[in-house]
Amino acid sequence: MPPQSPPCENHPALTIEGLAARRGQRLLWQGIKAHWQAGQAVWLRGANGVGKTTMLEILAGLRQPLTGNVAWSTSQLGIAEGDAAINPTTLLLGHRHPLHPHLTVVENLRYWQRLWCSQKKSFGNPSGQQSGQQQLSPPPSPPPKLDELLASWQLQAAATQLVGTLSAGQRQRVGLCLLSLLPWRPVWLLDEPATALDQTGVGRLVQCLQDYVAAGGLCLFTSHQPLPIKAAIWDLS
Amino acid sequence: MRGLGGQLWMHLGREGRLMRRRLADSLLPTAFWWLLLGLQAFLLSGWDMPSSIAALLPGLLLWGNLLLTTLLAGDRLWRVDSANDSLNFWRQSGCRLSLLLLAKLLALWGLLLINLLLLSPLLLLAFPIGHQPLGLMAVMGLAASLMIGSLGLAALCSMVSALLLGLEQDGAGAAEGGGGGAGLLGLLVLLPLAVPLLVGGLAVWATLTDTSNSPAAMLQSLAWQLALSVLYLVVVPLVGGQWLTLTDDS
Repeated sequence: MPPQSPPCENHPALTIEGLAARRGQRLLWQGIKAHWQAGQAVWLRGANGVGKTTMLEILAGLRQPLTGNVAWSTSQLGIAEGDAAINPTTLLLGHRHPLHPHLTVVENLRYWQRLWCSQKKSFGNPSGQQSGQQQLSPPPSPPPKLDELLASWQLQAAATQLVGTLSAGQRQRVGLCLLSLLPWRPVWLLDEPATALDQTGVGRLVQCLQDYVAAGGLCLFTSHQPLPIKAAIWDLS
Repeated sequence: MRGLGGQLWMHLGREGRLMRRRLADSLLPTAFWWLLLGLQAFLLSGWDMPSSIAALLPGLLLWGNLLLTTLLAGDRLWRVDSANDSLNFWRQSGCRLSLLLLAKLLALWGLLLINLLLLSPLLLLAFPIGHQPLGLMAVMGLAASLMIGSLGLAALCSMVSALLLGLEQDGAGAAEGGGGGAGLLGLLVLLPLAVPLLVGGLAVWATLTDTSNSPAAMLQSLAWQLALSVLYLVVVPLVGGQWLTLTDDS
């Protein structure tokens, strides 16, 4: 996968202006400003309870901010005009993965893959003919086969096991498989992706993030441990 | 891109698989219903009451029990999915949540039908109509009434379940007392909509117990139940799906 040329630096892919949010009656933060480019990894840092997950949910459009706004540059992210408003831009993978404990690893992954691929909003069109926009970062290769993906995360033996019987680290790996399995989205929002992973798992995660960023994706992640990846730091504290 | 039917089939496959995997959990409402019916039949057998009440009371208990059982089963619809990030993942995928809700509703109805099937011998033993053997028409009428009514109740309980899920997502609000009224709100939404359905069920029961009624009267009550159930089946997924789409934690 050849690295994409970086987007114009004067036009950030993500611009945050005067953002404020509350949790219950508690004001988490206000006046937050930031702008990030496509092809960049951003480490969102902060103490427990500072509102990192809330920030990711706002960016994903799953939660409304108290004030302020989040603007995605459609030209920078290679998405069609109008799409940004209905949130097909981001993929938020929370720390509680969407895996049902009574389904097997393969059943869970297949279900989400089929469901996401059945939606018309995706960015994996290699022809770059999406509304005439510059197609910055669709992966040129087809999505990996499930068995190969499981092998790359050392999950072959667990493929037919119920997710509820897996260890926390294995569940985390299964959740991270979704990143490669689902249709391309220009922004990844990852909440504690390295939790419970062993050293090998962290290495695989970092490789995955590096490939994504090199392909022009914008990745914002939270983590309480530093990951060996070149990332800008965004401290919410 | 799969059609809507394909997506519904996908959701149904998932729900069906989960129901099979958690068979013991799924049949818990059946056990609850057996217990209730057994106790009520025992109590009613030793209670001398006017014949008009004696004729209607079993029907009242039958439908009351069905409502409680549906609520109990409906409470489990989203339990696991709300404990992890599945709901957010569905919302992010851009899929129609109304289809998901419809699939969950139909799965719940399927569970109720299994319950009814397992319970049918006890129903006939517990509530012999007028101490006379049931005719074929009465058995079919009762079965049709329960099937149709349970569909409407499943729809309503699915909606309440979705409504409560949206409210309970506000974890911080609940912690500060904001979520305390969610259950009450659910009840307030459910009861006015469920009562007409239950009345329809009771009307069918009344026509079964009153031999002077013609089959046309029973069919009329069945038609009322059917109309309501179909209405709920159409409206609930649309309303509930929209609610789940719009709801957030703020």
